[in-house]
Amino acid sequence: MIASARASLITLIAAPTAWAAHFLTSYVIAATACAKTMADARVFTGAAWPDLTPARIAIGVATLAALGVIALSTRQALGHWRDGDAEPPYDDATRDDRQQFLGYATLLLCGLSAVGVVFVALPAVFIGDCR
Amino acid sequence: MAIGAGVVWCLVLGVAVYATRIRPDPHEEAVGWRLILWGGVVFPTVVLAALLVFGLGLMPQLREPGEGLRIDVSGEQFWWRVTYRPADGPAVVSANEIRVPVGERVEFGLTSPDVIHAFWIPALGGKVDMIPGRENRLVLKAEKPGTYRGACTEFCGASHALMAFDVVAIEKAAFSAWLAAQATPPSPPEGEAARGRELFLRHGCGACHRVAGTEAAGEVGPDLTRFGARATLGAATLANTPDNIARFVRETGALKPRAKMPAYPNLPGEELAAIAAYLGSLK
Repeated sequence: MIASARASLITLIAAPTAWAAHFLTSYVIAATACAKTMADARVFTGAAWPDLTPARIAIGVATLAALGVIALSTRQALGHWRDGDAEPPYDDATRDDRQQFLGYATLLLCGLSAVGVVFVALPAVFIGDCR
Repeated sequence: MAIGAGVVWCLVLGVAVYATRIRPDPHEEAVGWRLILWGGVVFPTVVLAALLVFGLGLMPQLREPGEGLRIDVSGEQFWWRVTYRPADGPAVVSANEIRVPVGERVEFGLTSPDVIHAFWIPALGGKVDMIPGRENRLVLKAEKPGTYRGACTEFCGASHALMAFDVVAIEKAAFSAWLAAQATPPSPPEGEAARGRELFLRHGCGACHRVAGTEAAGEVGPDLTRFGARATLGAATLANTPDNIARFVRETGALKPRAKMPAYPNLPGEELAAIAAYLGSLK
């Protein structure tokens, strides 16, 4: 349904869904890594801050996966956008207008989602502990 | 940051003026698309990414531990218990005024024994909650000498608005000398102040307040060992003058509603004056 020759509302939201899933995954990974290692207890025990490298790698993998989904969605959206002879603003009640409108809208959402995913992942690059 | 915001503001208004006054007739479609692509997509994305990277690059530095001096501050209804813990040397207890060395990252340990308070020195950094049962940490660095005002910024009861403090930032050498001097008790009072000390102890003030070097060793209320050196009294409620000290002792509840300290309306004026002279002499 997501990989489809025909553009639909499902193909339209594929990239924003990957962005949302990436945000949730990153948040949960970071929160559980800090909670499980009892980062708060450091204040009382003086112990070293827990090593977050595994969590940062996991966020990196999730980022690559999300960008991969967005790249595939972009490729498909380009196909949908070029599939027809309609002219902008694609607002006639025809198959080509619908296909090209959805393809173009998907393409814009792919760009936005890619930027969103990168911005969400950047803190994992710069911040290395739970403070 | 302000310059960047000003440049963006001028650019946007410049384009608006150009499009409405200088060349109001329609533009070519290709020009419109280019404007949307570069002005609406590329420019904001690049600027926001640069700001994000810049901000994130600063964050780890903000959260690094302090450079040795640690100050524990406990927010209590409605005053501040302050304990200096230098890396070398004994802890020093004080209240309602915090001294910090200029140019040094000072670590604050923040807690509370009663309700949630919040510690905020707007000129130096963000506010942090003081939560019973846990300790929050905050690292601040004063760049310039001076007196900064801090305040409780979480509603904590009737005198919440009267729970403030001064932060006095002084040069490092002066700070070290000041901290070292705190280890010895203030010199014994003379004249009226000596009588004030006798009254202070006789009326039982020492049950709640501590004055180092005397039998007053209470820990319920603010430590008064160097009370005379503070600029304010009652957690920055009033200026520290003899009249205000006497007033505060006589009508505590009126000046500081729901404070734990009882008022002493029956003390004769001359006794209040002697106690005020004694407290003012504690430097």
